[in-house]
Amino acid sequence: MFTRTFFNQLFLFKPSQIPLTILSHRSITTAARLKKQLNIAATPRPKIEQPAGSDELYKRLYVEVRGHDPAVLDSYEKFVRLVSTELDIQLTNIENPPFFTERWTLLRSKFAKKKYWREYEIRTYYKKFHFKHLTGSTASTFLEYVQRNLPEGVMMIVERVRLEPFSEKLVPPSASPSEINTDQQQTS
Amino acid sequence: MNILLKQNLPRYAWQQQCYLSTSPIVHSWFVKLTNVTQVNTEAAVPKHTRKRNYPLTYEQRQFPKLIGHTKTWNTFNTSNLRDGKRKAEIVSDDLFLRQFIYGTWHSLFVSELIIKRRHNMVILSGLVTRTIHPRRMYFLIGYTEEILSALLKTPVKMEIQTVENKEDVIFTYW
Repeated sequence: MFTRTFFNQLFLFKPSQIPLTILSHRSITTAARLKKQLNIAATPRPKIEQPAGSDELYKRLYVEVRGHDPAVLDSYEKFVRLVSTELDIQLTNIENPPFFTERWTLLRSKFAKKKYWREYEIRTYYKKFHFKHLTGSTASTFLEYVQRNLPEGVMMIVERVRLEPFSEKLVPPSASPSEINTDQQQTS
Repeated sequence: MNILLKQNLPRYAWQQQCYLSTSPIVHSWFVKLTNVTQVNTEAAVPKHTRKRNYPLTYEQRQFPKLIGHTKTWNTFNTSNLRDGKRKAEIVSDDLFLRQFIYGTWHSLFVSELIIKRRHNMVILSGLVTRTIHPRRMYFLIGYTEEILSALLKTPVKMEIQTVENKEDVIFTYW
């Protein structure tokens, strides 16, 4: 069974959040107690200035490509690798999800002959490219070039994970109960 | 019609590499097959003539059982992929395109018309004999591109290759 030791729970935190003094302790403790020790709630939120008109930042970009022929997708993978090395874009992973088949069992003859059927299938092969740390202009340029060279019979689906500034309305729960009550009355 | 949508998620790693066999040993010398579904198909397989002078192109000689192995389809589009759009429209457009091209280019096409769709473009390709003057051929290309773009509301391009005469395309006599 998976025991919750000190070292296992450290994976719940980012390395920047854990000071060296805590790492040196060898006591078994829970994640909640560690959070209290580190005093995460009281640390001030860093103010990152985003001047007006600055580019969007994409943490991750997933380009999923689907086709009937795996050989075509493999050659497209070669092309995308070359492009990402030339344009200095971080291609972290190329995933090959399992193919999907759509099957029909239909009668072989137009009339009667119920004993004889025929099996048909259509296969969709997948390939997913994982990119990270792109700006908006880089992503749009790269995607346009890669889409212009998309072979016929191949479709592309793009997912983007964008970094947004943290909303100022979200405040950590440090207010006293009386203040909370007055806020509720105002909203209602 | 029963449509079984089965998610083909393999449980073990070795399962991912297994492909369904389509028609492996129909014409084997050692194994005699009797399943009627594979042995008695007659589509697009011509009967041998007595004089063995029926001409076949290389494409016609690859019988339909080799589609997916050494033969591809004549249209390339994404409508039949998972989450593919415009299935019915693409099929009807393809049928119309073939009729239109074979009618406009009077007995000039020597191969099947190959229809490729990239983004919203339709690209037509095939082999054409040089029976007419090149100036007329340029006119035909421009005419088909213009009229088909207007009809289908998509950019249509023709990328044809020419061949001296029909005998150049004949592969065997059946």
